[in-house]
Amino acid sequence: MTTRARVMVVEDDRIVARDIGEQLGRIGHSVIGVTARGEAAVELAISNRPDLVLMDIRLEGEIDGIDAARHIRARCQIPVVFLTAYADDETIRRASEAEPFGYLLKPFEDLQLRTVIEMALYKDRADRKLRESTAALQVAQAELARMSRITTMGQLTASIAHEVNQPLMAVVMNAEACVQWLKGEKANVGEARAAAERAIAEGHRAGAIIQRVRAIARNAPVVFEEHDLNEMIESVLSIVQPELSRQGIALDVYLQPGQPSIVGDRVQLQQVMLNLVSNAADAINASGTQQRRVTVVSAMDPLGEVCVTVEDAGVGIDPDHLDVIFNPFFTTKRDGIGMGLSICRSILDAHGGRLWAEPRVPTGTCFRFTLPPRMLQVAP
Amino acid sequence: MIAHAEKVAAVVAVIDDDQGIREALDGMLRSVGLQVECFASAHEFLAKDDRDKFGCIVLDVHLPGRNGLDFLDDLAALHVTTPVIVISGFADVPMSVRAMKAGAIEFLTKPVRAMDLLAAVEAAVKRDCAMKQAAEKIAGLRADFETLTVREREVFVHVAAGLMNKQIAAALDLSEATIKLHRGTMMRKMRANSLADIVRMADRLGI
Repeated sequence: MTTRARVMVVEDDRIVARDIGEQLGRIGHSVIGVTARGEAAVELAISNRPDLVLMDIRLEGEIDGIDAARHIRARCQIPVVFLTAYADDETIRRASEAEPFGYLLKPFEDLQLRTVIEMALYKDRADRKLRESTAALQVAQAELARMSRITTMGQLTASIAHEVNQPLMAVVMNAEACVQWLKGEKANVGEARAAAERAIAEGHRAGAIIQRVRAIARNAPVVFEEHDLNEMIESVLSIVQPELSRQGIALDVYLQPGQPSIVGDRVQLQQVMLNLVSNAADAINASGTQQRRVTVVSAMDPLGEVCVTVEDAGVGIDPDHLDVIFNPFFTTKRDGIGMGLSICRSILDAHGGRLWAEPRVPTGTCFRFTLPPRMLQVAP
Repeated sequence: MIAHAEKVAAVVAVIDDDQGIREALDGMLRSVGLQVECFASAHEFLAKDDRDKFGCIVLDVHLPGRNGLDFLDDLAALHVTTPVIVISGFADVPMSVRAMKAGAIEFLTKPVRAMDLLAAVEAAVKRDCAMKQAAEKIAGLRADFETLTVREREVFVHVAAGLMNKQIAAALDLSEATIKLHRGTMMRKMRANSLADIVRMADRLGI
C-alpha cells in the first residue's frame, strides 16, 4: 500500500536536502518543508503537521536531530526517521532513546528510503489506533466507575433527600418566624434578625450537603492530587451515615490523626469507601445479626503505608470466594450486578495500593485497602 | 396563625435530634407567643420532673437511639396524656397509622408548613386544657365523695342505681326516715341538686 505522504526534511547540507527531495518525489511522496536547524524543525513540525519527518542527526543551531526528534514526538506525535552518515554506538544509543520510527545510513537507494518510509507510516498508524483504543478504554472504565457510583448513590437517595429536607424545613420555619416577629406595631427586630440568620445558616447547610453529593456523582476526569485521607473518609461517611442510621446500623469511626497525605483521585477513592461501607450494611441486613455496626478504621502500618479497614459482623464470605468476589460480575445479591468490588480493586491498582478481604471471627468480613504515602507514590 | 395565642399559657415541648430544626421550631412557635422548651431526645424529656406544664409535644420520629413511635408507647405506659404531634421526614401510610394508634393526635410530613403546625398545636393545647379540666372536675368530685360517711356512700350507690328511699331502707335494714336524713346530707356534701346529678357523678367516679 503506497500512500502519498507529506514529508518534512531536516538536513544541514542543502545539496543533500535537494537530493532527498528528488528521491522522495520519485517514490511518490511530497516535501512540505525543508530546514537545516533543529529549533526550526520543531516549530515547522508543529505548524505544518507533516505525516513524517526525515531527520539528519548533525544540524545547525543549538539542538541536534536527536533532541529535535524528541521534542517533535513529545509535542505532536509525528513519526521521525533518522538519516545520518554517523553510525557510532553512542549516536545509535542516543537515537534509539528518541524512539525513532526508522534509521537510514547515508547514502541510500530509493528502494531503501521507500521501505523505511512505508514501515514508519505503517507503525505510526498502528500506534495511533492503539492510543485511540487505550483512550477509549480509559473513558469506558471511568464511565463504568461513575455508573457504579451513581447506582450506589441511588440507593442512598431516600436518606439524602431526608438530609436535604431537614435544613429546608428549618429555612421555611425560620422565615415564617421572621415574618411573624416583624408583624404588628410591636415588631421584634432582634428576634426577626436572629431567625433570618438561622435561615441563612440552614440554607448553607443544605448547600453543603448537595455539594458533597455532587462531588461524588460528578462526571469529571480522573485527577491525581494530594489529599488528606481522613478528611476524605469523613466526607463520604457523612453521606452514608443517615442511611445507616435509618437502617438502625451504628457507625464506629477511628481515624488515626497525623497520617501522611496520599496522592489520588478523590472521587474514585471516595467511591471505594462508599462501596465498602454500603456492602457492609448489606451484609449486616442479610445476616440478621444483633451486632448492627460498621467499623471504619484508618491507620499507618509498619511499612509506612496508609491502611483503611471496613469491618462488619454480617453474613461473611465463603473462604473459597475471598478472592473471586473481586471478579467482574460476581455477586451474591439478588439485584446486584457484581461490578462494585471489581471497580474498587481496579481503582486501588491504579493508585499503587491493594484491596483485599479477610474473614472476621466469629462472623462477618473485614475489607482492607492500603495506599502508599505521598513520598513513595508515583503519579501515573 | 393562632388568634388567641396570648391566652395559651401552656408550654410546648419540642423533641428533635436535629439542632437546626429544634431552633427553627422554637423560634417559630415563640414568634406567635407560645412558650417553648426543647429537648434533643425522648430520654431528655422523660427525665424532666414538671412535665405537667406541657400542653403539647411536637415530636420528630427520627430520634437517635430509639424510634419516636416507641417513645409514644413509653408515654402511654407512664400515663402521660399530653397530646403529641408527630413530624416525620419519611411519611408512609403504615407509619402514620402506627403513630395515630400509639396516641398521636396529628401526623405532619416534612417540610411542615407553619400554618399546619400551629393549627395542630392549637388543637392539641385545647384538647390538653379540656382533659386537664375534666381531670380536675373528677378530682373535685372524688374529694367530695371522700367526705361521705360509710352509710352515706351506701345511700349514694343505691340512689345512683335508681332505688327509692323505701327500697333503700329495706336493703340497708333502716327506717325510711333515717334514709331520708342520710340522703339529704349526702346530696349537700356532693353538691348535687337532683337525682340526675347523682347518676352522672356516679358514672364519672366509675361507681
